[in-house]
Amino acid sequence: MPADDRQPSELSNYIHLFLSGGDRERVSGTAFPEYVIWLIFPEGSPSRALFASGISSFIAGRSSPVTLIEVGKGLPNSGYYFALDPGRYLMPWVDRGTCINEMISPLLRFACSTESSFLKPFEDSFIFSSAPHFIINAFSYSSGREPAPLESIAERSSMYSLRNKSSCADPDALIIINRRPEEDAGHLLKRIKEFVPAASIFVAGRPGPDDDRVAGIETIPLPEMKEFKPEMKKPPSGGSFISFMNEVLQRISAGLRENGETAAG
Amino acid sequence: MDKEIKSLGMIIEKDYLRGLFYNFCRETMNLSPEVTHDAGLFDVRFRNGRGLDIKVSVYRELFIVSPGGGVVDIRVTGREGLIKAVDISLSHFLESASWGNRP
Repeated sequence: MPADDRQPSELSNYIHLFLSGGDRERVSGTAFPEYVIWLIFPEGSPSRALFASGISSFIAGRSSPVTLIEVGKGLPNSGYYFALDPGRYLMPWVDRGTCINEMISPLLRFACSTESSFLKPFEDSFIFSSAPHFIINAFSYSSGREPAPLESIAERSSMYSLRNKSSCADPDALIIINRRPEEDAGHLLKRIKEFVPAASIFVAGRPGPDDDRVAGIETIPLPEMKEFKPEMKKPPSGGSFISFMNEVLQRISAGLRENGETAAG
Repeated sequence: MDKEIKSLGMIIEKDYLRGLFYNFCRETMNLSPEVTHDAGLFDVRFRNGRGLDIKVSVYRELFIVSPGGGVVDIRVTGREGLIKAVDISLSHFLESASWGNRP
């Protein structure tokens, strides 16, 4: 059966995996279960908005509240795919230093700026839910320069946490998407490993020559998405994207369980 | 900023509008490394070899953005026109390429 024809699983079928094993300890002491996923893209990649909007919509569409934080200079941003008014989604580009803060749906809120220092908190409170809150943090890196200050990204995004705004929102999992094979991302991968040694790291797309220099990196094939029409101003939601998301979330949940078991000894 | 585009912008009298023109050109070139430009005396054309074709004609008091080889013309005299021009050009760019092949 072609992958696109498979009946997509609901996130609720395996959302319990996010709350299993040693992870229960993590949740029990807090008001809300919360997970932080970083999506990292090559600088100038138009895929950033595409995947950020698609992944966020997918999770929010399955009853988990999501805060999408997107930082980057290149267009489009996710506001394009969320069909925001052009004056809204282009605001960070037209007016330097501004930040988009929009409720896309009751379960999905979206913050976007060209630099992490321009991010601003939401004025309204977010939904209270028993389902885990996901913070999706999408940003770009440039292989030619020093990688983005990861500590600063984690610190800035902590303002969107529903648990404890004073701590850093360190990632539970990171996905490097659509990297350019000719680019050396080894330095970035090493920095990530140093910063969050326990996080699951995935490369979605063609593996790079330097991937094997950093242990514990998994590769996920990118969806084909032949049916996707980016000019339609709608996040991707077709069969191949759903299959991709199912694989991503299953692998992340498996990584979280392993980390939980390791932490529990 | 490219010299040819810089000198083309000098046709525009107002500094503010000239700045919008440069912003538009810069953003169009940043859409993808594949985007190239070809500047004439009164206009500049951006292409990517996959169907992207945006012509920008420059006048003293405005510039006109024509994505898709003149299917639509957007007159830019200020911020609102620029936003419309970027939005439509972005849609045209995204339409011009299969996303999976992009870097």
